Amino acid sequence: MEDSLEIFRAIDPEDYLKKFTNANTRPDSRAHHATRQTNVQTSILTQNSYGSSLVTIGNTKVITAITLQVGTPSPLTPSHGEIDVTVNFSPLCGGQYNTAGRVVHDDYEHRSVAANAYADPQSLQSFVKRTIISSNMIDLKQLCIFEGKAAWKIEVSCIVVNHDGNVVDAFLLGAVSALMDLTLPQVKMNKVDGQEIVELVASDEDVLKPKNSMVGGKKLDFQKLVVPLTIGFFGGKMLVDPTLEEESLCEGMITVVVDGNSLSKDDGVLTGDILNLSKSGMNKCSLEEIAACSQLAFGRAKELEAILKP
Amino acid sequence: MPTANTVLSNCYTPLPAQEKGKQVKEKKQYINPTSRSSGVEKNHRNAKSIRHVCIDRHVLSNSTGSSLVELGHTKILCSVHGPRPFNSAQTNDASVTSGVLSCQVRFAQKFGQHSEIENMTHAKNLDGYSSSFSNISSQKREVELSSRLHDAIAPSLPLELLMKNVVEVFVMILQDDGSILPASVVAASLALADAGVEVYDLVSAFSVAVIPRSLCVETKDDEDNAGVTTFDNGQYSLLADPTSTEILSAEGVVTMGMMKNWKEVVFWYQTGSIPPNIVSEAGELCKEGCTAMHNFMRQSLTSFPDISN
Repeated sequence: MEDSLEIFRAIDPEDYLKKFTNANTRPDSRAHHATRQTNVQTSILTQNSYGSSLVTIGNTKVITAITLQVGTPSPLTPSHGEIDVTVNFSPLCGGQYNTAGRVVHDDYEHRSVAANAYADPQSLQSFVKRTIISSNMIDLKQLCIFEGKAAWKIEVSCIVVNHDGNVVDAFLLGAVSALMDLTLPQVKMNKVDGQEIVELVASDEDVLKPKNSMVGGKKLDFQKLVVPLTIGFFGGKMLVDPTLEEESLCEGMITVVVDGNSLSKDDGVLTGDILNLSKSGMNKCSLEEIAACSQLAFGRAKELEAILKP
Repeated sequence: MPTANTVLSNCYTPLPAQEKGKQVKEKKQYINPTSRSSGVEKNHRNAKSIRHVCIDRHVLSNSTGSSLVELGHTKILCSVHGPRPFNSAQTNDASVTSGVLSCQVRFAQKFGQHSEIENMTHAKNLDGYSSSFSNISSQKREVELSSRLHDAIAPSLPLELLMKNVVEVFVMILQDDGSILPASVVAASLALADAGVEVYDLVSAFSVAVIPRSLCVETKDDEDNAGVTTFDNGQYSLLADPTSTEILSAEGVVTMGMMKNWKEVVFWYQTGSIPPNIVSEAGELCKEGCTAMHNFMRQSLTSFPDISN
């Protein structure tokens, strides 16, 4: 019996999923509006990075680490720093990826248009970067070292360690939690041979000390708490936080990014600011459905507030 | 040298961020063999001891087998896929009838290697750091590590049993703090066992750095000093499980891989010029280290993995 179910799943994954959704459940026995167990662990890598995190959403795992660079800000924004985001896939996240992070053996050949957009590293990278920068969660002036001369460039690198769907949420949560973990080291400007150089002020020579516990370091201030939620549309039903199997079958996907700091109760209904909302895919959905999605995202923000805030 | 005028729209001209006194500081640092970093704060180790070890397997659900190996700050993730049939990219040679082992080692982009270490110029060995700091050099290091890893793991696999199938081993170095080659070997071997691939024995590996006496400083008041005098041969000190700072000061590094149950050495890699008597001493220390690592690996295999992962 077990075997025949697996065969059914392999031959006609769409029908297989439909059987579940028609019975108002999902293959992993979640309700349609339920997200998977989400965990955030910070400061996991302390040697080369200044802030790091491991985000676990069900079986999806993403490691994020932040490295820093110093550069000259542009003359137009002399006191602004910069944030850059890269995302990487590798064979760690599943057998379908090769070492360059491209999909080679695809178990999900019949991927829908929406799912394809959510599997392409470059579009994901662009989406994550744009969301973080356009949300204004960090005032880039905090990254200034010396106005007009030097500022920090924060490089956020995410690697997918295990891919089981909904990596977008994992990337965003990872970037947010790593940024919260980030400590900017204390620096001073110095002149060497007529050139100005930014020097790290070494707290002491103890190599044992992890970098992010550096004395005199500076934590960033956050204006917003970015919380994402991805919802897949399958056969007219909404599947919150889809797994890889569900994701590859969904006709459409919607990602709502909300500000967890802006939540308020209005007539018993949770509302707040939406920072980014993007729908992709071939399906049509009504405004009511989009409203329902953002409602779910506010709920998610409420739920993740405790995990994200230290 | 870029000047402040060479700016793009809102991009950066990288400026050199330097640690204090870096220009005058010698690359070779003094090492205190009796008080070394162990990866755990306030817990120092002596010349013969290993760093804080953490070994886990079956950590990734999408891989056939996987493992996580931590030696102090060195952190490595390994996944194994397969055995599965060849695809045309892997081999076009129809005459290959046995199995194929493919090993790939990659550094996590940007944070895998120490950024300052990429600028180091004097290094001379694999576990040390290559000679230029361009991106290409890190790729070359990855390629070399991959082939060394293959050399170390291949003897433990009866490949002829895998008939026209490929086993893919992928190692991701999340954080490099020395001894990455032995840690990768341990991780790969454990992940293969976790994947249920038939092996003759687990391959455990260990590194020992040979430090010139002239670079050693000793704390006189340390009571654990006895461990050091054993290796006191006038010119060199041996350090087990070296960190990246220690490797940079080392005259040479000896890495050995063993199949402990078969009492056989499957892999030996030495860099730097070391007198023969020191080499054999280092070999002995490696052997002890391999035995210790083997025990850790066996423990992790016999304990029941966390299925929820």
